[in-house]
Amino acid sequence: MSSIGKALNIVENIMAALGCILLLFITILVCVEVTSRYIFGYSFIWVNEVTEYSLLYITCLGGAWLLRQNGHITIDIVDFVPSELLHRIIRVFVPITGIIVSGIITWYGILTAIDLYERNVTSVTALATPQVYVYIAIPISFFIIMLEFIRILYGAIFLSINKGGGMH
Amino acid sequence: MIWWQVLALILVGLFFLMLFRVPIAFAFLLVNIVAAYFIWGEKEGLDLLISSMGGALTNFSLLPIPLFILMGEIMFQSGIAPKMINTVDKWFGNVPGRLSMLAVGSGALLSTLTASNMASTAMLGSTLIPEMENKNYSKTMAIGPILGSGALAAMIPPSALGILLASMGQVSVGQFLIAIILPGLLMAVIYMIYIIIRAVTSPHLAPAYEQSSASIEEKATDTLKYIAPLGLIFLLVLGFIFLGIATPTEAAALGALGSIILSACNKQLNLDVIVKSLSGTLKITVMILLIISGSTAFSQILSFSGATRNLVSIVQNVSTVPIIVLILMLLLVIILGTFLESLSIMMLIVPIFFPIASALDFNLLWFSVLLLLAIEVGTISPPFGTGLFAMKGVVSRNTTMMTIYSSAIPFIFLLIGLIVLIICVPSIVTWLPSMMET
Amino acid sequence: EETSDATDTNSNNNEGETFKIVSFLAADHAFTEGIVPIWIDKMEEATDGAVTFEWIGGPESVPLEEQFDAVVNGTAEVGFNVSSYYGHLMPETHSLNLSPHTPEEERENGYFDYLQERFNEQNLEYAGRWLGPSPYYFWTNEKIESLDDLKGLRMRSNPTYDGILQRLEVNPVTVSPADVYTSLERNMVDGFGFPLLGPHDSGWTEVTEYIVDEPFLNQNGTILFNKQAFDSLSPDIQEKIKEANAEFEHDMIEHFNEKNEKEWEAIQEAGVEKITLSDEDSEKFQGFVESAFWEKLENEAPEEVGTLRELFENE
Ligand code: NA
Ligand code: NA
Repeated sequence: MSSIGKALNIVENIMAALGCILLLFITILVCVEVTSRYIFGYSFIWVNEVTEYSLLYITCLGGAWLLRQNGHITIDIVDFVPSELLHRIIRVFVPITGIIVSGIITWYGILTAIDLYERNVTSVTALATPQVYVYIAIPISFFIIMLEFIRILYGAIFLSINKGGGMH
Repeated sequence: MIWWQVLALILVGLFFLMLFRVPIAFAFLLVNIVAAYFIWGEKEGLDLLISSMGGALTNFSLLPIPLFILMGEIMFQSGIAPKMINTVDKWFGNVPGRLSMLAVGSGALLSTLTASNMASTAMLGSTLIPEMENKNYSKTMAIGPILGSGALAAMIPPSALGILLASMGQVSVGQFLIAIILPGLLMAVIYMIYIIIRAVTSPHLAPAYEQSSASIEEKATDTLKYIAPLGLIFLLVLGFIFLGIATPTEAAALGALGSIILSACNKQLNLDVIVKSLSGTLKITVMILLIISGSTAFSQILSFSGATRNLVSIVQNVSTVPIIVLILMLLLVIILGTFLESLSIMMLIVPIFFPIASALDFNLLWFSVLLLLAIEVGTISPPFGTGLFAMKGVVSRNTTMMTIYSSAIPFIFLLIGLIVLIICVPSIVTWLPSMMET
Repeated sequence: EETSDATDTNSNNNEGETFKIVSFLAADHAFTEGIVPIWIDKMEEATDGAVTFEWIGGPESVPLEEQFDAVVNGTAEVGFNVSSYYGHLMPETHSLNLSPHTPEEERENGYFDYLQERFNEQNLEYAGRWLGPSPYYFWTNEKIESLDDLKGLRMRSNPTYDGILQRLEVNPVTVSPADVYTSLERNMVDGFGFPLLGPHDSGWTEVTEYIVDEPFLNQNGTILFNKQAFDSLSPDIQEKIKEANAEFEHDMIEHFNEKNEKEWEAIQEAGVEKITLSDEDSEKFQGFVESAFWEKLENEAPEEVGTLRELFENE
């Protein structure tokens, strides 16, 4: 597990780093575009489309990394219920839900990507970007998210067995 | 299945998942997977869901969100926030409730940098609470004003929630950012009036203390150094939007670039600052955008199932008094706010409330500001609120959650008071945007 | 009273089929609000209860880019689309914008049948047009006296007429619908292209001074049925629907002519001034339009261009 775990960490970190670079890139791109429009009277019509795709890419690149850091927003009401059993159930229930969701999204994401590729679907704009390049980010991201949820589930089961053992 | 059964099932499922600690984005996704399967139609429905996820994010009206967050992160990471609070501190003379007033004053300033309330509350709390305890401030006069000021973050531009609300409600993002300025400032003023009244009537809550006064030169240099450049960026960003020189996205990008240049000029820019700012931005951005991506289909499925249309016409038929509908909607938001967090409330209500508001012919700018205020109440209303938890993270260990709750209550009422005021005087919202129309 | 009707049809509709309609604009848009109900009434009357139609809504119900596929797949049975949003899948349908003929002529000269064949291949039944006459116009805040005055202006762009803007040497700017008002008011853009209907309802005419009375392009609205859904109807009913659609196109033209006439008055009352181009410029402009579109067709559907030119020359 630990070497697989390390590999997963590395993949997530690389994705997150790419997300950060993309973030910096669109900031600069938008600044260049607005400057060019005002100073040289010339605007790049593709900037909007590229920045829009970046928004999806940034989200997909950071999703699993954020999950590892426990950074996704949750509602913590249940923490106030003083039942260790309930908490243990939830520690297992949440990653199982996550695995199901990210598994389904990965699968249908792949199907969608294949369909977009086969039909050669492009954007309706002047750039005519093949949409497979845009949508492929979804299954890739959710596949890594699924792996991260599997790690969380593994941790939850492993830890609770350990804990249970300790109490006897 | 009849539309209201669908609606009830979807909502119950969503609440169940959220309450059981499933991350909100995944709770929305799971409900949407099931609903897409049955309502949009099996495999095709799930294909549509994937498209909806992608389509939700490839939307350029959301772009200002990461860019504004980046602008604030760079400022924070380059260490400007504590210096700013310090400078405001030097300016405050011996006003009653000095430190509480300082909390509101710096809260308003910090809000020009931060797009969300957690950062603001944590920053103010960690800087001011120790000193307040030192000066024997009562817990309520210490914690309350900071909680209240955290809510300012969303009401003074930039505001991530505001941008999102405007873009989902098809209101102009630029106009909305301008529209929240007066309500935000008014909020700060109302807090200050309240603090002065409390401090004067019960001096033991916020004991006055001798404070070494800084020379006027020192105040002036600090202001020039720590507040002026930042104020300049803020004014440029808002000015660009107000004057229509740049779109909110462009203004945000220029603001982010401006803050990078500013921190470079102050010799505070290094790789560490850049990496921390970018990863901090990535964190908040992904947090917000993944929820948007997961919940956009929610609104489309509700609409497809007929639930939205039927609800809207029921509201139109049942109540002939729009103001009652408005009050009910805001009340519902405030009730949801006691246990849900802001983003999920927004995702739940916008698809249903905006069609109702346009059917009733409300001014959508005004309506959105009221909604945002009601949502902000939730960040500090017991038992659950991001502001409350951020506060718990920075107060001393012996402070109980109950103390934080009771400190929040007066400020909740002040916020509700502001909501009532804006209902009665809509021009608080509409005046500034109407100045854009010269 | 609409609610109770809607609920009733939802809950106890046992006789006949119910077809769901998605439209590319929301139910309260000037383009859709009048015409879709007219169509529904016409179809329900013609089929005498064999089919009822339920208008699910616009992009708030099914994402715009997905509406075409939603009808292909049967998520919805009927789509009121425009080819701008599926032209990348069927580039030959960009020709809908260019057709010089009336819908009636299209049914007679073979263009309708040509499209029907193409749509059938996509698992769709082409029922006819639903938008028009609603050509585009350029709306500006600069007094345009000749085509040269357009050079260097910043206009809100749209993929449909990007190629035309390019030929006019206009600077395209992307502006979301919610921000058009502000960007006109603050002079971020000098104008936009849009049909007659819409800008006044959206309030844009408050901040727009001129409309160039040089209509260009046809609208490309199509009514499409999911093929299986359509084929599931009896041949008799199918025939009735086809006939009713041909009739509907007459009603549609009347409907939009009436609306356009009122709209001209409304926008002029709102202070929008009409600008007319010289004959020479008008010809040059329409030349740009033609060349932009034929170029698009030649690039994206080269093997169809010959057929299309022939069809458009047929009387
Ligand atoms: Na703010
Ligand atoms: Na709360």
